[in-house]
Amino acid sequence: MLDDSAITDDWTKNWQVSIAVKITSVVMWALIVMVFLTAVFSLQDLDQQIHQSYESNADLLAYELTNSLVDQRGLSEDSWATVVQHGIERHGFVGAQLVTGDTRLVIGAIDNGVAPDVRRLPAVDGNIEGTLYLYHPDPMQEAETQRNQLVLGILAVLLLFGAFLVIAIRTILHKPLQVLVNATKAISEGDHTIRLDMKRDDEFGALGRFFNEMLDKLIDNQNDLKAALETANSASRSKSAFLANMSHELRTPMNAIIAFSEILEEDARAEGRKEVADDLNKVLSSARHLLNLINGVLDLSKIEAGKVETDITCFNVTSLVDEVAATMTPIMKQNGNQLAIYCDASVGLIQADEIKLRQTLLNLLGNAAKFTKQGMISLAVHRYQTSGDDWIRFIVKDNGIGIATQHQQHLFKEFNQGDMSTTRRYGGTGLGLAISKRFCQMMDGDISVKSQEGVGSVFIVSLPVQQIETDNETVLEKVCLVGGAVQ
Amino acid sequence: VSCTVLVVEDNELSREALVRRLTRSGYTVLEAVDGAQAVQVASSHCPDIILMDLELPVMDGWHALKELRRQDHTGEIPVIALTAHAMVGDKERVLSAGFNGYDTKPVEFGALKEKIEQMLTLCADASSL
Repeated sequence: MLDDSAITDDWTKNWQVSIAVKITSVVMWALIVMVFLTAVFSLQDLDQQIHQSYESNADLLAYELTNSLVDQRGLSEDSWATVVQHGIERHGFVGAQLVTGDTRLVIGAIDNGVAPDVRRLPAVDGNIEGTLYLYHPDPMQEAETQRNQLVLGILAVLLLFGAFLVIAIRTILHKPLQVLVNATKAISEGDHTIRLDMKRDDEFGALGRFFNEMLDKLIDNQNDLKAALETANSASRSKSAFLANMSHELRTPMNAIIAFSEILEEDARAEGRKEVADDLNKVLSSARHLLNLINGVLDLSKIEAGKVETDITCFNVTSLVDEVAATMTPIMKQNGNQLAIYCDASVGLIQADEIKLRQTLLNLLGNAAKFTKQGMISLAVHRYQTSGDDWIRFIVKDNGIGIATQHQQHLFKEFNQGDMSTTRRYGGTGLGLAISKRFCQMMDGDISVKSQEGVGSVFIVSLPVQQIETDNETVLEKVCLVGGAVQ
Repeated sequence: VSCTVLVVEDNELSREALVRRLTRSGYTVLEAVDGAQAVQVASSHCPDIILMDLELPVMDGWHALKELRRQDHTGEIPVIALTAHAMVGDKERVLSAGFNGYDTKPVEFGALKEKIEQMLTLCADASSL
C-alpha cells in the first residue's frame, strides 16, 4: 500500500514546477493586478477627501483662533505666534500667515506651492479683524503616501494569503497527485504489487479506486497472456521435440534403403544389367535427397527446441578461412568456378562459435558454387567498428544467377529457396540459409543479402568480435587477446 | 592375410548391409550388436579395426571405447565412429573423445574403405617401428 507518507518529496528542489506554486502564483498575480488598479483609481478620491478635511479643519481653526484671539487681546506678537502655532499643529497645517491691519505674522512654512485656505477672522467688538492664510501639505503627495502604505499593507496580507494557499493546495492537490505519480512510476518500473490508499471521498479517492481496479485487470490480463505464451511455447517445444524424434526414427530406415540400394546397384552393374542399375541409381539419389531433408529438419528442430548451444572460443580467423577454402576448392571446380579469398592476416583472433561459423561459411560458399557457373566467387573478411564495438564481416560474393527482390526477404525462412522452380532445378533442401541465420543470431550477429537477378549475390555475415558472456566461468576459461594480435 | 574388421551396430539392416559389403571387399568381418558385446568380441578376437555406432543399447559407443582403451591388448586397436547424423560439432566431440576416425551414416562405402585402409597402413607402420 502506498499512502502519503511514502512520498519521496523533491518539492523543495523543484518548487517552481509544483502545481501548488503554479496555482498560487496565478491567483496572486490576479490579486496584485487588482490591488494596483484599485490604488490608481482611488488616488483621485483620496485627494478630494484630504482636501475636504483641510477645508473643515481650516473652518475649525479660524473659529478657535477668533475665540482665543479675543480672549488674549493685548498680548505680544510672540504669544500670538504660539497660539497660532499650536492651532496649526493640532489641525495638520504646515504654516500660517495672519494679516491684521498692516501687521503680518508668519508661522511655519508658507511656500510649499500649495494654495492656502483663506479665512476671515471676524471682528469682535471691532478690535481685531484679520485674514488667516492656512498652508497645508500637498494633498496629492499625502494621498500617494497613504495609498502606498495601503498597498504595502495589502501586499503583506497577500503574501500571507499566498503562503496559506500553497499549503492548502499542496494538501488538497499536490500530495494525492504525488502519490499517483509515484505509483505510476513504480508500475512502469515493473512493480505491479502497488495499490493506492487515497483515504478520500473526492475525485482523488475515486481515481485511486479506479486506478487499483485497472491494475488488477491489467495483472489478470498479463497473467492470462503469460499462461497463453507458456502454452504456446510448450506446444512449440513439443513440436520441435517431436520433429527431432521423428527425424531420428525416419533416418534409420533411410539408411537401410540407401545401403541396400547401393548393394543392389553394385550387383546389377556387376551382372551387366545397366537399366536396373540406372533405375537403382535414381532410387539412391532420391533417397539421399530425402535424407538431407530429414537431416535439415533435425538440425532446425534441435535449434528451435533450444538443444543447440553455442560454444564460444577464441580462434584465428585466417586459419578458419584457409580451412574453409581448402574444403570448398573441389566443390568450386564442379561448376568451373574460381574462388578468391581476401583475408588479411591482421584480422587476427575473434571470439565466436568456430564450428557454427565454419558451417555458415561452407553453406554460403556452397550455395554460391551451386548457383554460379564458370564464374567468380569470393570470400572477403574485414573488421569494422560500429557504435564503438568491434565487429567482423564475412562477405561471400558470386556472379551467379542472383535472387529476385521479391524472393530475398523469404530467403532465410525454412524451406525457401529463390522460388520453387529453383528447388526443382538445383536441388537442395532450402534449410541451409535458415540454419545459418539461426547460427549467426546465436552468436549475436546476423546474415543479410544483396542481390540482383542475373548479376549475382552478396551474402554478408556480421558478428561481434567479442562475445558478451553472461556466464562468468566461461569468460575466465575463454579470455583471450582479441586485439589485432595474430598468434 | 585378410584383415579383421569388427562391426558394432545395433540395427540389423544397417549391420547386414555393412557386413555384406565389407565381406565382399575381402575383409574378415566380426559382428557385435551392443557396446558390451563389442568389448567382449574385441578382447577375444583382437580385430585389426573396429567400426562402431555411437548409439548402442547396453553400453554406448563412448563407454565401449573407454573399456577398449583400458585393456592392454585392445587399447591400440583403431576405432572409427559411425554416427547417424552429423550435427554441428559432432566430429570434434568424437575425435576429442579418442576415436581414431569418424564417418556419418549412411556411409559412403568407397570413402569408408579408403579410411579403413589408411588406418590399417598407419597401424602397420606403427607396429613395424
